[in-house]
Amino acid sequence: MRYLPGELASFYRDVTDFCRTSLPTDIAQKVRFNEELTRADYARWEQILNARGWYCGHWPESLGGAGWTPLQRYIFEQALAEAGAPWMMPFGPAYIGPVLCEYGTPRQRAELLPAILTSATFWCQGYSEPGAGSDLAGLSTRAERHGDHYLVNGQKLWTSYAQWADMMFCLVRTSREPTPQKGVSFLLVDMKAPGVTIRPIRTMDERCHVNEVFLEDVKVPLENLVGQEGQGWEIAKFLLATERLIVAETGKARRMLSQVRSLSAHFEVAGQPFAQDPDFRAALTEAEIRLETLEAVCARELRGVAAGRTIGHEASLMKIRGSELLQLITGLAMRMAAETGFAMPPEDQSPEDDMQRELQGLLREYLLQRAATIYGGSNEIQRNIVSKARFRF
Amino acid sequence: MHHDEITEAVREAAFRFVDEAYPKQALARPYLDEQGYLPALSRLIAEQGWYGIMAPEEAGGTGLGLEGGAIILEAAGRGIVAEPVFETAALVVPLLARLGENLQGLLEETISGACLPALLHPWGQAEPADLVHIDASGRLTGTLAAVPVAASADLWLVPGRSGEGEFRLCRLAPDAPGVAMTTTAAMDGRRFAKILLTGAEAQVVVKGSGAEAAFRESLLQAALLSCAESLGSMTWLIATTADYLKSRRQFQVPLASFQVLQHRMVDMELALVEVRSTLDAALHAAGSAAFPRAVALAQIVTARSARIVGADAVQLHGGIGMTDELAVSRHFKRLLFNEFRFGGAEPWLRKYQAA
Repeated sequence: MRYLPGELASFYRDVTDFCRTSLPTDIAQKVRFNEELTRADYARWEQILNARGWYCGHWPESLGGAGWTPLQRYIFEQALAEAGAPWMMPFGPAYIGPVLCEYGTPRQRAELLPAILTSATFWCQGYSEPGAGSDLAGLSTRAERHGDHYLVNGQKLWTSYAQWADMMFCLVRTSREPTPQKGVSFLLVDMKAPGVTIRPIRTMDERCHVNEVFLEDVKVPLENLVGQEGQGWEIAKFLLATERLIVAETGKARRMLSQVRSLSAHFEVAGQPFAQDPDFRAALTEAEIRLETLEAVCARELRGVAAGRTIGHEASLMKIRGSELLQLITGLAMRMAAETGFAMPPEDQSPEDDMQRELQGLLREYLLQRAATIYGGSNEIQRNIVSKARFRF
Repeated sequence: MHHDEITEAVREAAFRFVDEAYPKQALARPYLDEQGYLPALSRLIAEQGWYGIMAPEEAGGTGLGLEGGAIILEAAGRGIVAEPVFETAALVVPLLARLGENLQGLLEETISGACLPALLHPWGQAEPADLVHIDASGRLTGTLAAVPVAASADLWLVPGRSGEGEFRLCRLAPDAPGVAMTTTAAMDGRRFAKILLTGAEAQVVVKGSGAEAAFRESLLQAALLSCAESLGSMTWLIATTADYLKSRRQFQVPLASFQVLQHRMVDMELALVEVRSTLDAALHAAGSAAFPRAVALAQIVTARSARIVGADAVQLHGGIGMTDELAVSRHFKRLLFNEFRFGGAEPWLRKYQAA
């Protein structure tokens, strides 16, 4: 990542070096070829990072972290991604972890945080519903108090990796208020509780990353409420604020662009490598320009944060550009994929040739990245956010 | 009946078939299906007269030429029909009709659905493939990376060149000695064959520069018909997305009430109109010297428009546009498949500049 100030640049290098020596080869290969990691793969890598004290580095030291600033966390994640490490599953370390650090009771922290650090508990995020996508406040999964527990009924949608999860942190409705946000609470649901049913959803990349989660009379202990009843929306906004910096995946973009570049030296069009085709070179240059520009934008924001500014709508701008960029880069791979006949072999039948395998992995990534402009608040919503915040339109 | 009445009737029947008779659950077939389509449906489609739409009536066709082909391919795109409509109606049948009498029997059998030949022209190639070499005894050598339909065809038509560079079209049995084939899934769920020919014995059907010119003309016309298939898909996507925006509510209002989304739909419509128009322009230029450039323009414009319409249809559907279950993503992938069928926009840009 370019344009980083001195000490952050050197931290970036440290993380990159660590990956070079400590990222297991089999995991690195899966990332390179965009082959599916197992839950155990993710846990193994997280444990390696945790042994270095980095996995939850941004948590307070008193709770098992290293007291990193959001900046350091961002640098850490981008360096990992650029070095070819797998996606850092945020649900435990970046979402529920910081929420419990801020809003959790001492008992909740003592019971739940250690298992996140060791990757013993896998978390998922129950937010969206069929009727609550962009309009999350419209959620209707309800939790009714019945003595010593809540009874939860409803349905969550697009729940990433629910099929692996032990626990789900959930936005539920505990009361009906004139302002819908006011009746929302933050509840922790045991995925093994009776009444929880998970149905995988296959996306156009032919994989099942996301799920439907049906909740039918699920009993959730009262102690699993985080904060107060009706405080759920505030907690969700707190989560958004900490998540925001991580939103522009420049590290992943760098890694994929460098893959595209090396593949373009190998695959040919009209009798010469793509790398020498003038149109393709122009397109590669365009991608490089946009990536470097986004890195400059992120670096400027990070310098502001380091100087004490809070990130506001700028995060939305970075999300817009970051998502478009991932689509652009994978689009370049897709152009080359025509060479291989656009094949999409089943998971157990990869081509023997490593270059083809890598190209097909990027093709599959192209399909998945169609979601980048939709998830995390669609780019249309992000533009609304900026429009209101920046111009008060 | 007046010509326009005939084509209108054909269009109505074809669209009705796709909307009502073609099974929707065909879209949900497992991707590991060996053939990538259902032979029974292929026969049904043949019975509709689809495969012979361009061929002369004497051979059992409908005799509607390129215009008829465009109608049928539009219907095939509308329904993202998995059966080999393009490969048969737009490629094999017109080629056989063009090449003459000694192929009449095969032409009739293909039109009726009794026989399914596949042209071994790899997906992704704009030019006649100079991939197969034919030696003096008619034996074929070469590698073809991604050939649609070939894995389930009854016989193969193989274009190639002799040692002296003369064009030959040969007839080859898929199970002949010297043929090695593996199959793989194409990105839209259908199948590709990877074919390795090592001295496979074939029958030369036609040869020479006349045959080569006929082959090139067939490819050129087929390239235009590929645009028609994409047009059908894009038209469906726009209608479906508009319906979705009207019915889906968030923030207590239909999504269609947001001006940004309205304008996106208009931009999709602009892209669609440009495809329809450049397709029409090329159809009108058929048989003239302007035809190749008109086809190049249609290919370029269709490639650009399909990206806009396909991507925006997914985006405007939000999360559900990403799911495999909804037809939207399948149309998106079919549009990509079509876009690169003849190499994508770049080779056509070069042809456009040269024309």
